[in-house]
Amino acid sequence: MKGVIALALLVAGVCVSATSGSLLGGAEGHRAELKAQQAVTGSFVAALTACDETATEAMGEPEQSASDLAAIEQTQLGCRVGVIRGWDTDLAESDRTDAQLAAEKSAEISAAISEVQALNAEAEAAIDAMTMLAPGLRFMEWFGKGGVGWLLGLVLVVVGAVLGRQDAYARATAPTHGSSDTPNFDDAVVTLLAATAQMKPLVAATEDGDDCAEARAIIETLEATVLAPVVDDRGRYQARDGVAVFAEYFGPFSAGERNLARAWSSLTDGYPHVAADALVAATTAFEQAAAAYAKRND
Amino acid sequence: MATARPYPELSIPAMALGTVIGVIMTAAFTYIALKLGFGLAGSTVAAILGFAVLRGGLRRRSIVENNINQTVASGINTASAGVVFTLPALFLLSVGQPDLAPFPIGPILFAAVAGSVMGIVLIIPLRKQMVEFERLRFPSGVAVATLLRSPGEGMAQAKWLVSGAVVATALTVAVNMGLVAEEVDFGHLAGLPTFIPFAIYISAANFGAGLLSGRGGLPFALGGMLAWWVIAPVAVLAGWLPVPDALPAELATAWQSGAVHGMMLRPLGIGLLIGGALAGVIAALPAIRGALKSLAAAAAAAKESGAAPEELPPWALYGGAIIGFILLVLASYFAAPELGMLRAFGIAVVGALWLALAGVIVAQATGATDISPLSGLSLIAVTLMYFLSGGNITAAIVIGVAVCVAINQCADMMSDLKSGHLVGSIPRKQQLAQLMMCWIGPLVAVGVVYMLWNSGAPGTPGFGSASLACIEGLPGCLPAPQAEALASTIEALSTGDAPVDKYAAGAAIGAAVSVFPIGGLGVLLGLAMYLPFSITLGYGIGCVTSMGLQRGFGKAFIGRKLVPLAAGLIIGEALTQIIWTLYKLGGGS
Repeated sequence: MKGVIALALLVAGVCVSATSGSLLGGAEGHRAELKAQQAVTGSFVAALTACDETATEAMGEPEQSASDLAAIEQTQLGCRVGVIRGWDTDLAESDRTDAQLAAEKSAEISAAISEVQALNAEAEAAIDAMTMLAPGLRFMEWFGKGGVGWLLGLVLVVVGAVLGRQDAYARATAPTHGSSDTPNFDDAVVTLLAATAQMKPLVAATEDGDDCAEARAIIETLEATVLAPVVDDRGRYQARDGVAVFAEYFGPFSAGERNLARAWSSLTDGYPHVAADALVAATTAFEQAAAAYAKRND
Repeated sequence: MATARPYPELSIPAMALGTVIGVIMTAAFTYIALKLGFGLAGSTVAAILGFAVLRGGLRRRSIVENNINQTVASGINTASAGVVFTLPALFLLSVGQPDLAPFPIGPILFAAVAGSVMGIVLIIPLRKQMVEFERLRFPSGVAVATLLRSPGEGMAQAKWLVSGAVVATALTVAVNMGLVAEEVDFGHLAGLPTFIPFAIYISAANFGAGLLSGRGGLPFALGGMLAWWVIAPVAVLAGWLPVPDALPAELATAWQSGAVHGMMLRPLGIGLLIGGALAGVIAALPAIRGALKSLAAAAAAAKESGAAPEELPPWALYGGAIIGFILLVLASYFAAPELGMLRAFGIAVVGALWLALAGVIVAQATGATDISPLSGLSLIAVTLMYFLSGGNITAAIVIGVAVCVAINQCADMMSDLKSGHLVGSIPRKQQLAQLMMCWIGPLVAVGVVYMLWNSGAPGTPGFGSASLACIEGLPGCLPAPQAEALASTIEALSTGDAPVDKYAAGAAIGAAVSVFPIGGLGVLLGLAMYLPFSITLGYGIGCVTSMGLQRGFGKAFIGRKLVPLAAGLIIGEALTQIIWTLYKLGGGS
């Protein structure tokens, strides 16, 4: 139950603080408004300019007849109408083609284009004229709008986190652990040491160049059934013993795990003497892990 | 047992092959990034070429040797993204501000090499924390390890790997040919407003990364839902993003959808990333201290016993950090001598601190999701340096290059160490290999950028929208979109437009969230706000699918079938994308 409350507080806290954190301060809000105007109108102005540039380029081609030039002008006009239809709802909803609209509603089209260009120029000028706030002022301006929600959210997060830690510790130290699905570290290390001892003579008897499939199969089984469950359960150990103590025994345990992987790789490649060395190193590491684990409460 | 042949690991063939592959990929990927605006990951390519050359051609059977080859190649290549996202901005800005030229080649090279060295030595002490204690997934690292281990895996696992690669290849080709949409917009189909997005980015690799992350990646997906299904609608519906009455309503709403990301979620997400990473490092300090102690103890024990230590000794890391820092101070000073040595030193100190923190952020984000918030963190680096240097663009970008290269190195080194952990490589050998060759990538990448800039007609830029090729719409146009974006941001900085309020608010939330007993929560939530939702959602579906499969078929199914399948999805997409890109650049239609 405590864990659920902790999680709920965390989620609620993050929602409140992050939502408040995303608020824009007054000056920034005004700037955002101008940026919106500039971004939207700017895209139309750019598209209209592209229509004109394409037409200018086409007109620059040599040996153009009068009818060619007229066709280019028509294309240019159609292009401009196509662009401005995205701006003007009435034009957009008309069932006429671009060419028909260009012929029938030239006044409306010109007005819409002028409107877009004027709004774009207005926004650009206003943004250029704005003075940016100094970082401290900008922070304070935002804090004035979203600070309370942000702080409240932070409090919820911290309370949730503390409860979460308490819950994790309680679950890590609960006597029910160590059952079939959550391995006991001691037992795992004993199994690993026994398996390592079992593999040593097998590997010692392996000819150079051979892969000792039996030992490799043992390592694969250990990886899946002993090492992986302990690794998956590391959060419990960490919550129960603390980070520093956990590191003291989990470090050698991981070194043993890596040396088992080395034994597997070198056997695969046909280097049993390297595998033998790796098994010795793994044994030492698992023994160190067992010793550190045993004295963790000292 | 027969005579003990040495097991090839840190060998000359592996180093040589890794260097050759790395140099070629660096040059090619620098060009591709200027052309298309995105970088490509080369680890899988290097591992496959390693199979062909080392195992096939040279008959050298060694999984760990190929791991070294791949470590070296990706360590060199990783510089391309670091350089190409920052340095070209200096060139582009020089078009409008000719006083920025001539470009200080020496300081730029110093900075890039300093970043490369510092990124590696600063992240190595965190190997135990990230790879062994936190067990970050590093999906690409797992994919490479799966590939490296494939000679010893059974046919069944090989079939899953190949199946994944085939599916990814088919999907990537279909998307690139336009047969399948890049995004499937369910929100549009359901009639949702554009500010409540429900689109899925179609990417086999993104889905595969989610499959590999499983439950651990779920907070990332939930963070995306929070950002896009709570914050964005509230902001728009409450009128927090005001739009002028003069704008037609539909156009205004469309603008709001983009602005809620650009002006609110993205800067807030960057803040969360910073706060989350900082708090994560503080929380992990006892473990990091323990790891450093064990490094020193292991080095001492190895010295006593005559055996080689498993990690690089602390003196090597301190030495690398000092050399890197001296190079950074020199880069800072010679990039803008007018600032004086004291200020240059201050800039280098802040640059090094930010580089370390950003490196941790990127390594954690990449480790948890395979996605790197590189551009946002580089942007902050340049912003910091811009203000520290009193608005000196050259100094800001030069140190920005160092930071960007460094944070890429952090993520790459840690991903390679993850692969190494899974195949049983000795970390010291991987670290040494990457450290020995890390200076090559920056030289190649900087050289390629210079060469391409000078490839235009005399007196005209070689890339960017102002280049003749781009103005005339020629096939040789290199628009350099990332650098254009950075250049425009620097121009905005000169007006003082930096969302410090969002960064600060986000940092506090990220720090507070990190107290919760879920590792890396602040970073995951921050990354979810930083990215477009379609990517987060596609990844989240992978996580949920993995959880469902685990519940239905058990953990053994995940290890033996789902991991190789997901690795195949990542490898297949990466390879196909690289081949497709080269084909397109070669004039393929």
